[in-house]
Amino acid sequence: MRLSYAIENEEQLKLLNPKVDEVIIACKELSRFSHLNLEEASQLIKIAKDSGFNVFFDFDVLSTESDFKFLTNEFLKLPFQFITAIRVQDLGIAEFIKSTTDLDLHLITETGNHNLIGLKAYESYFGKRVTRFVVSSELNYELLKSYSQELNTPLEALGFGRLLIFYTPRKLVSHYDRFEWINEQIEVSASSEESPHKGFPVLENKHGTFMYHIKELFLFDKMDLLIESGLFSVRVDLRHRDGKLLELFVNNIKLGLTGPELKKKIAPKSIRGYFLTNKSDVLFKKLKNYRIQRKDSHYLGEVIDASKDNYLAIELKGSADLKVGDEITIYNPDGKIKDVRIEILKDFSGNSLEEKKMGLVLTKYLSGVWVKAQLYQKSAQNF
Amino acid sequence: MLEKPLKVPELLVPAGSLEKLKVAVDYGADAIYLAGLKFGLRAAADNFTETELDEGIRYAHEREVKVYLVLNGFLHDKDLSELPDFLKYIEKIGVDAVIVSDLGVIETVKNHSNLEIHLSTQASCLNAQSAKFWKNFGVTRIVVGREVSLSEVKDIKAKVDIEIEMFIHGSMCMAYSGNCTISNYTQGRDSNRGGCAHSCRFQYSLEQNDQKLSSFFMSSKDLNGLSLIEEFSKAGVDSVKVEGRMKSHLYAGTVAKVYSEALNEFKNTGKLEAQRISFWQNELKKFTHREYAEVNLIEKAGADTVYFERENENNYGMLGRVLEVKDEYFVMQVRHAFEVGHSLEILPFKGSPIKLDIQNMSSLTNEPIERTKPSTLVKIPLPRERVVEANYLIRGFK
Ligand code: SF4
Repeated sequence: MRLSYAIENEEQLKLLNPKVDEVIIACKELSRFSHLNLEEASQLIKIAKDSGFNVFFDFDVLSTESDFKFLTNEFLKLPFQFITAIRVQDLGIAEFIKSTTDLDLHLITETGNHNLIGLKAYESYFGKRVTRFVVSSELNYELLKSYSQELNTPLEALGFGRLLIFYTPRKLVSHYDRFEWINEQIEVSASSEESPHKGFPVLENKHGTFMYHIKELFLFDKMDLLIESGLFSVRVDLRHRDGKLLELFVNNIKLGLTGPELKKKIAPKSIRGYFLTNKSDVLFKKLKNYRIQRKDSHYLGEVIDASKDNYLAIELKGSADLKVGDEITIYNPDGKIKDVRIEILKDFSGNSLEEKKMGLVLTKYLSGVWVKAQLYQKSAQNF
Repeated sequence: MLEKPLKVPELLVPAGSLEKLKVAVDYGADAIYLAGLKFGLRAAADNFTETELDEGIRYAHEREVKVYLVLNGFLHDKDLSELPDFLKYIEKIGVDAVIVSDLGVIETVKNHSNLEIHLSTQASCLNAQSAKFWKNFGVTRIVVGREVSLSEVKDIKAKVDIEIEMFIHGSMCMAYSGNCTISNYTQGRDSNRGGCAHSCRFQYSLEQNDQKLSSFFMSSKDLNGLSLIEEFSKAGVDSVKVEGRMKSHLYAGTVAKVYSEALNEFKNTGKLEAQRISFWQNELKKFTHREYAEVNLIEKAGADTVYFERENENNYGMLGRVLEVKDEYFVMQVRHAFEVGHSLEILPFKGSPIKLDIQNMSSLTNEPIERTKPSTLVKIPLPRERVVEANYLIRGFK
């Protein structure tokens, strides 16, 4: 397993070993996050390459049609001869790089790619030009393991760094002129009473506004699982911190430290995100009242008025007839179920009916049956 | 009247339930988008069971309205395994296209059906090269990212032969669609599989050193592109889309009515008078909404597109709907209470609203009623001068 480090200067480069480490370099013009301009990045790319590193460049912004030309023109100024691959999320930019350069692509599939079929489709479309998938932090290690086995393309995931949780092109902070710009970006901390989490780092730069999780993601205490997951490379991105943390991390990794001790030393307040398990869909069941949901072909309709001691008004919506003498089952919104026999049916003018299909009908009032109760023919299976 | 009507975009309206589908169709939508119980992005919406889907599609098709089904969650492997059977079902009942946001779903749709594929805005397709990429995968229509302007759409259309759908009205995701996982990491609910908790609407305190302020800094105003219908048309947009499967019946009815009237008027006359636009804009204020903006339609959205307030319920809204019409009276299903002396408005499928002053009303058993209760039925004398039909919506002060 290799480690890919996002770096911004030579000092950081010197901490690394080109035999096992790789470097990611970015610039303000083309990348979501960087303190370097294109010229500075180009110099660092050359130095890194000369030092024997594989160099990957982050062209990871998204681009609307009107910005596309400017961004791709800037991109063409990079010293391609020193770059091993371009990291890209925007599929239009990926298409551009594929058709205008010989560079390899590291496809950033961190958002919206949580299945093998999709990744395989990218693999067959881009062919050998894609040499890495940067996969989502929402994939747990078991999935990573099976993806590593099923795909021909090596995988990379974030192992230590900020988790980006929001990206907009809108400038959301700079219009409050009280906050200070540092090196062409503003960073503030955002907290809300409505959220249990406090202190989200929010950063604005020329590409828009980015929000990060309040805690960094740190997976190196689970080194055994990282290795078992089959990831080809694990990314370390501490560009938002001072250089000392990177140094501390590199030195401890070199010493072979792992487990809780490493976490305590390097990232005591970090999270593991979804690396062990992802249950972010289990709460969906609680978002709806399934009792008022129409279920099957035995469906008759819904109670739309319950006038005490007078009538139940029913809107018949299903395809079946409702007849005097029918046995029906009523599912109340509170979960109570009642079996009843239809004794009378009337239209809204009070005329008696023998049967009714679709539309509006009145029947005898039943205590404990509420508006929105769902009516089914009795043969309907319970749910 | 023009001799030859102009080509205008299709009007695509959301339906969060079968009832809302009927409302949107009755009030003039050309196409409806909806979701089954799974695979969409609105886990809290009622959505459609299979029988409801069947009925909804029949209802729409009988009125020459198309139905697109959203499969726009970013699906995980286990979700995908359940998809093929559902695809076969929706193909059989006649869904006109599916709206999809990830490549795995596209491949599954292609492998298990001949359904037409539209790319969801969720995929954040923002440029012509990206449109070409998706076209290569069999996508026939792109719902461009909400960050794309009308002039950019024109450029994309000039470079790629593909249908373009664009949002014209409704709430806005502040993030590049698909690029927000705040709910995933703060509420344990995957926002890209329907669990968004709207954390961008919260009030935040922002801090930097000793500077601090409190603001709804990441909350977007609502999109309203009504006055740009001519520009949508000129840019070659094939379909204009209204956001809001979670919104009310009144919302579905009003937006369908307003935009279909405006599109038809432009189609037949080649222009929209300022007075008409102002009338429609006023109609679009008669349901709960946030302050409107054109957001990215003309230029890149700036600070003036942020909504710095908490969203409040509009006190003007839906009071009920007409259930049944008799010779002398109609039966109304009451959603919000009102009383004798109040002035209501009936919203007909076509034409201007009908004023309805409540002078008397009664229960179904003919007892006089002074004040209605929600979720009840009342009889109301018919207004004299205008025809009232079943399923007209009724609105007024709540
Ligand atoms: S929280 Fe806001 S920005 Fe994020 S997905 Fe939901 S609506 Fe979009």
